[in-house]
Amino acid sequence: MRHASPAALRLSVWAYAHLLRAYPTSFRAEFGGEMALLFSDCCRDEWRSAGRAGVFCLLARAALDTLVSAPPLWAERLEETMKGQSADRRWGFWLADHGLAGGGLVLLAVGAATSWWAISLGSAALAIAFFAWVAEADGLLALPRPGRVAIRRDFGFDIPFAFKVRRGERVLLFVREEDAERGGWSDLYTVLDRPKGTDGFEPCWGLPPNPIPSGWSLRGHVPVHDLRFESHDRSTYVTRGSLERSLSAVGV
Amino acid sequence: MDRPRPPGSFLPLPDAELEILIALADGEAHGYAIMRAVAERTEGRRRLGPGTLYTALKRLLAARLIEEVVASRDAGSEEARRRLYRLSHFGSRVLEAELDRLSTLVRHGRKRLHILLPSGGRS
Repeated sequence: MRHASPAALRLSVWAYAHLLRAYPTSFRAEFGGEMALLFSDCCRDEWRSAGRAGVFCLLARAALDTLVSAPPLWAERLEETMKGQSADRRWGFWLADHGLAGGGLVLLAVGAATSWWAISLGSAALAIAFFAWVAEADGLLALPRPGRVAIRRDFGFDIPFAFKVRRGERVLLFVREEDAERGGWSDLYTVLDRPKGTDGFEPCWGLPPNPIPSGWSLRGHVPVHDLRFESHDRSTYVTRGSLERSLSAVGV
Repeated sequence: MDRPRPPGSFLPLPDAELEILIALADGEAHGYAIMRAVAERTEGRRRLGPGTLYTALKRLLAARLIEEVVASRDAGSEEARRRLYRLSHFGSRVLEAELDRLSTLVRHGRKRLHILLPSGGRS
């Protein structure tokens, strides 16, 4: 007869499944399932031999193991990402991140001999450097590029179906509508705006913003091909010139 | 096409990778079996965590020292979710080169120790 897993086992397996998020997505996709299965087998062994304490010790060891084994994979991932970037961007990011990390280490060294505030600042700089490094490697951080505005996009390939930009105290949303008559997508973006800091239901791409969702007001329409988009890794940019022209066409 | 690297260029092998290659020298095995084999061989002194084990397996697969076995098993069964790995021919050559390197090191080390401690280090 098969008994239900004890709570300690289920909790540990659940916690380990969350720990796996520390690994890069590609690694998790390839080995995550097997790692979770292996951990659950080990949990059962520990439960039989040492009970609840053994299971929690195993979880603690697995957490340490994750701390040791995940950073080299992120480093490899970063190296691969950087290979695909322009030299300027690579060096800019390298200098910023290493500057923070180096400054953090110096502050830590100074702090060890002098005061707590240097230790705190050093730790903060190191933490920021680490997260910037991880965010860049995972494509979460859009680095500023001269003459380009980073946009938050919703799907689409070369031309986004919808994207948002901030303009002073306003948030502007460009939505491309589905053209039912011709089939496919309209050649116009509908431009909506709302004051920054207010909530607004965000219309999804493909759904015509008609009636105008609450919180938003209609600014007008701009031709899709007036805007120039560029994609770099997983970040998308629109050229500042084309954006300015489109915004002035709708009176923003 | 990349020229194959000579076995010597992989040496010295990191600990975890050497343990895995030794475990796979017995035949094909999945991750859990490798981990158990390492723990048994070292009498529990060396326990590979899932992260260490699979990052090492990833590197060994990339370097073609091991290969995945395509086994025909019932889809959906727990066994089918486990991937089997085996030592490649090239992996065997690398393992042999590493064991030769280690035995030479041990031989030299013992010789030096005998010169220093003629009793063999036993008091």
